This record gives sequence, C-alpha cells and structure tokens, in this order.
Amino acid sequence: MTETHAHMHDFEHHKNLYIKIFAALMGLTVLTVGAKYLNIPIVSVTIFIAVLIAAIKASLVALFFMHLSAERKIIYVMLILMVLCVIGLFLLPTAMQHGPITGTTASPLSVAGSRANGAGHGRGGEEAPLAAGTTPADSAAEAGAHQLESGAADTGAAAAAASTTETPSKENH
Amino acid sequence: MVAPAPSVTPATLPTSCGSDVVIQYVDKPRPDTGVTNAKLGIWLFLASEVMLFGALFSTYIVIRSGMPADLWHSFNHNADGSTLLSIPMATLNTVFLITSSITMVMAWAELMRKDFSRHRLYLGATVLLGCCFLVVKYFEYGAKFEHHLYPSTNNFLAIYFTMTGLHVIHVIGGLLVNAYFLFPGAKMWMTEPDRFTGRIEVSGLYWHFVDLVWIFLFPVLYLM
Repeated sequence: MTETHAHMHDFEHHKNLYIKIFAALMGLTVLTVGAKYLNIPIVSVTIFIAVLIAAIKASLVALFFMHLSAERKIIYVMLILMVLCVIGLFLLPTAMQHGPITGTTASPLSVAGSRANGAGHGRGGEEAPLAAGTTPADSAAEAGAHQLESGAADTGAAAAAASTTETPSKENH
Repeated sequence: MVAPAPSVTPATLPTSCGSDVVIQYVDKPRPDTGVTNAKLGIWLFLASEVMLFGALFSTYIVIRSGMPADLWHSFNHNADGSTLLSIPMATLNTVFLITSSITMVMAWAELMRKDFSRHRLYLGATVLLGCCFLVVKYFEYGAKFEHHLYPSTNNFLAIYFTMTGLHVIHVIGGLLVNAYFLFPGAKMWMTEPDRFTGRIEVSGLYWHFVDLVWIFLFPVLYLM
C-alpha cells in the first residue's frame, strides 16, 4: 500500500520528467533533420552526426520511457549478454571479409550493385573469372564453391552474381 | 545474491484465472528475479528482437560498404540530386512515434495512480498515433510503387523495404495489442488491477522498442 502511495506522490514528478524527455526527443529530431539540410560535404561526418543523435535519442527512450535507469539486476545482466551478442553479430561481416573464405566476399555485392544499375562498377565480377583462368583447375573450382557459399549467405541477387562468375570456371575444365 | 527458490503455496497463486493452467507471478514480482514473469519475458523477447533488427542493420552496413559511394548515391537520390525518400514524411512519422511513446508511458503512469479514465485517454491516443504512422507509411510506399520503385529495383530499395516493412509489421502488432487492452482486454482492470497494470507496462515496453527501432531507421535510411 505504501508503494502505491509513493507512486501517487511521485506522479507529478514523473510526468514532468516524461515531458522533458519528450521535448528533448523532439529537439534532437529537429537537430538531426537540420544537420541533413546543412549538406555537409564529408559523408563520414554526416553519418557520425546522425548516428550520434540517434544513439542519444535511443538512450533517452530506453532509460526513461522503458525505465532502464532503475531496473532490476536480472534485466541488466540479460541486456549485457545481448550487447555482447550484438557486438559479435556486427563483427561477423568484418571477420568474414578478412578470413580464409574471402578474396571473393566483397565481389558479389559490387556485382549485384552493378547488375541493378547497368553500369560497369563490378570490379569483383571481372576479378573472379580472371582468377579462375590463371589458377590450377582444382583451386578454380574451390573459388567457385566459395563464391556460391558467400552468395548463399548474402542476397538472392548476390547468389545470382556468384553463379554467373562460376560458369567460366566450369568451361575451363 | 542467490535467493532461495521461492516456495509456491496455492495461497499465493492468482485464483481468478478461470483456467487450470496458472501462470505464476503475473502481478507480483517473483522473489528471486525481482520482476514479474511477464516483464522478464518481454525483455527476453526484446533482446531477441534486437538481434533480428541488428542482423538487418549489419546487412545494411555490408551492402553499403561493399558498394562504391557514387553508386550508393545514385540509388537513394533522384536524377536532380534530391533524396529518393521523403524526409518530411519520415520526420512526421518520427513525431508521431515519439508522441505515441510519451502517451504510452503516461497511460501506464495513470494506471499506477489508479486513474483508469485518463489511462484510456492516453492509450487511445497511442493507438491513434500508431494509426497515423501507418497512414503516412501507406502514402510513402504508394508513392514509391507509383514510380515503379520496388524492393527488386536496387540494393538500397531492397534494404529500405525490408527494414521498414519489418518495422511496420511491428507497429501493427503493437497496435493490435494496445487496441485489445483499450477495448475487450480492459475488463481485467475491474478484477485484477495489478495484473492489468503489468500488462500495460509490458505492452508499453514493446511499444517503446518499436519507437527505438524507428529512431535508428530514420537517420540510417533517410538522412545518410
């Protein structure tokens, strides 16, 4: 009962806090849209500002609307585990790009891009058949298999790109 | 810090469920976790949701970084240099979702001080603002389809439709749950007020998460 009483007492305090957070979120929205219309020539600066403001807004929502500023220990433990998993998830593509599978990981994406655009940006697409022509037959087949593997992990378009680069290596056999 | 396993006696179980299966700790915190089972459950669910959306954000990064910058620019800009997506529409939707987040938290706060009529007012506003979001999204998608811009058009539109589409499905899900609590589900307030308050809190946590995802989607897809 005392808890309910305390809540009633705190109501006005909480309401004022929520309104302040709301005002801050609105202000940050104006700021992030305003930053866009500044047309900063350096893309990385634009990205940094946008992500920074988004992170601040997300923190405000999580801390105050979702009450993470005063939550039980078990929720924090769970969220820490989640953050570790997210970090792993985001490092995965980077790890793949420098791992033994690669050399070909980057290419299906740019091939898929150029395919959609119709322009000749597909540097990876030219590389792969070249490699197939100059290396021994077994490693060429291996490269083709890796292409397929990475294609399966990526989009359908990437898979299609991988299969087109595989065709010339088959002809070399 | 390990609390002894709670001994559950029939007296501590909610009795008004009207069913043989009794879910425990729906209105009172479980002694060892300190939270209700519903709250623990929604946080576990939201953690899995972060992984789901995280995978898509990761996909976005891989697609964008694996593509020449000028090509990416050609995908999300019109021929005259303006952005392909409508920033005013997305800003309006941001305002709708942020506002709905504060009405949602107020709906819960009003229940905490036992003001049911004001709670309904705020929850109704939350549902209404969610609907406004969907209406804007409908026009936004419609304009894209009208110009023959589909997920298959290019990689930018593919990831745009995938991410916003998944988010819209989440908005619809949250709307349905809140609409349920606004009308048929509100009956529980008369019989089990603490449990109903817990439900609104859990529904609110989900709704704030949907807002939180949009907070990242908006700059990533529209402003970068």
